[in-house]
Amino acid sequence: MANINYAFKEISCKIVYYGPGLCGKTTNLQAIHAGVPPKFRGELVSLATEQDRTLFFDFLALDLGEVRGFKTKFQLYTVPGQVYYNATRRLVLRGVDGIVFVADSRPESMEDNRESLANLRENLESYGLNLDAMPWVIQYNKRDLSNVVAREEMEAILNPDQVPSQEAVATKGIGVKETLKAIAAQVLRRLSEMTESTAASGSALERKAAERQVLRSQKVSITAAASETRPPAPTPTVATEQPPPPPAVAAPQPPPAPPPKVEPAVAPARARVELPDLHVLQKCDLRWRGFRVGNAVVEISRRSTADRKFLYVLNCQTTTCLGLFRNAWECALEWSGEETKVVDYQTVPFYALRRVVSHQKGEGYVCIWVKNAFDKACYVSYPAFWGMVRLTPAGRGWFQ
Amino acid sequence: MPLIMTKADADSIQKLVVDLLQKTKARCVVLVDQSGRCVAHADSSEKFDVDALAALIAGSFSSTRALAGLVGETEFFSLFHQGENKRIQNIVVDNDRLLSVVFDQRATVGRVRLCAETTAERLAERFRQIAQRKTTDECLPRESLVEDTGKRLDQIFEP
Repeated sequence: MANINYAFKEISCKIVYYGPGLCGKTTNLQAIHAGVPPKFRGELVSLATEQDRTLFFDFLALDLGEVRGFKTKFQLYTVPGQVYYNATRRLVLRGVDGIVFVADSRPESMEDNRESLANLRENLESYGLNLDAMPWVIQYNKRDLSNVVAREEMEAILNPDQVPSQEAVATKGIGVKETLKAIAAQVLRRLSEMTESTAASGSALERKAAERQVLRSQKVSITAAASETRPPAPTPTVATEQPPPPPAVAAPQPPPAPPPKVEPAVAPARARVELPDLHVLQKCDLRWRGFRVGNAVVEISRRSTADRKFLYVLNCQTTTCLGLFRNAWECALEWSGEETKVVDYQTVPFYALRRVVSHQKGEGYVCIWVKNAFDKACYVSYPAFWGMVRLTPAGRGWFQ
Repeated sequence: MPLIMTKADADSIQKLVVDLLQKTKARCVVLVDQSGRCVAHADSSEKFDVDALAALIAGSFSSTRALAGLVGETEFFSLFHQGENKRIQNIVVDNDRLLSVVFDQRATVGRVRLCAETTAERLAERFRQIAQRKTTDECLPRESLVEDTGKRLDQIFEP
């Protein structure tokens, strides 16, 4: 997410160099570091192994000074390219504004290029981002080698949508500046478009909802085949998963009356909120009327069933009364939509899951609230024979 | 959507950061967003590479958050680094921002943590207000900014 400070006239953008291992991402930054005078850049920070393989990230700050009245800065990052560093790559992608995909032009690396590009899309989707909806460019590196794949062939395989591309020899600094110029132009253009439309609409929240809708409709078209989407809002997602996405994709297609479609499209999009890819595991206190009576280990997960439905499962092991009573139980939960709850005197949105359970004293609800996918916490209340008992994330208070 | 701050926002945030620096007699206070950008900073006579500091703090916190997930925690709300002469106290402000205080033996850990937590709460409230408010009418000069940035990149790359 870029920063624009109109008060101090500053723009700050994050650009990530992505690609398979040993494709030349770090070499790009080294070339920029070598080619730019110190007053326009910071030091190159490299978190790497002894063999100079990137372990976490490389970082270089570029300060272009004042451009059209705005102090313009770029934060350039690289990610570790090796396959098993995927969790780290995802962390570095947080808040990205533009991506340079560095492809290795050697024939034996084409499969790695494809996998890395697919991995990039997956990691962006974990943040709700769509590669095709954000600024990115491709750099075909190592063009000085004797046996490289023809550019046309690489374009056909890696760049069917014809994003800007550049040939490069990063070890010699060739093409590095041009790549940076291309991505900088895309990022700034995109940033300007966003600020223009926000100023025109006069409401940041409306714009955000509209952008989310655009991204969601794009995401639906991309992930429909992957069968990860769920049906639109009103019915619980236990219903069919596969059939609804094609109608959802087809719905925006008919040209007549797109403006009226925007409003009804926004409402179901908000109602059918992205379901979290859940796996929450936490230790909690058990509290009854504010008094701690024990502790619990709570695990909530989402599983696909044989008929392509989604099943939420709660597994709970409780210990109460100084360890005298131990209990373990598991139950299936239903998705109940979004709710807001007051926690620690703040109104917080949750994903609500519910289950009616039979109990010694009759039927009661198991209610679980799970916070958003990036800040998972679960709050559970279930009926016990001495009254409603709540499980809370330890140390964070308890919901009311 | 980019974070857009007006002058009043920037001034109030900067004031909170400077107040924290003075109260704690710290060497440097940095407000970082979780993508590694420095949102605001204040330092004393000793100067630090604030951009690199921000990137590394955010990286450190991201990996710590992932660690927390692995051991069953939602997150670790504070992170403390201790060196021979300098210490760094990091506090979570909200989902997107971190507050980092670099200090030495002139300040005590307890006081720094107490003041930093108070400042973090005020900053979180300020950012909530920024997010909820209607945005400014200002916008960026699109094509001229893009064109001039390209020319500037041409100028700064040494032949």
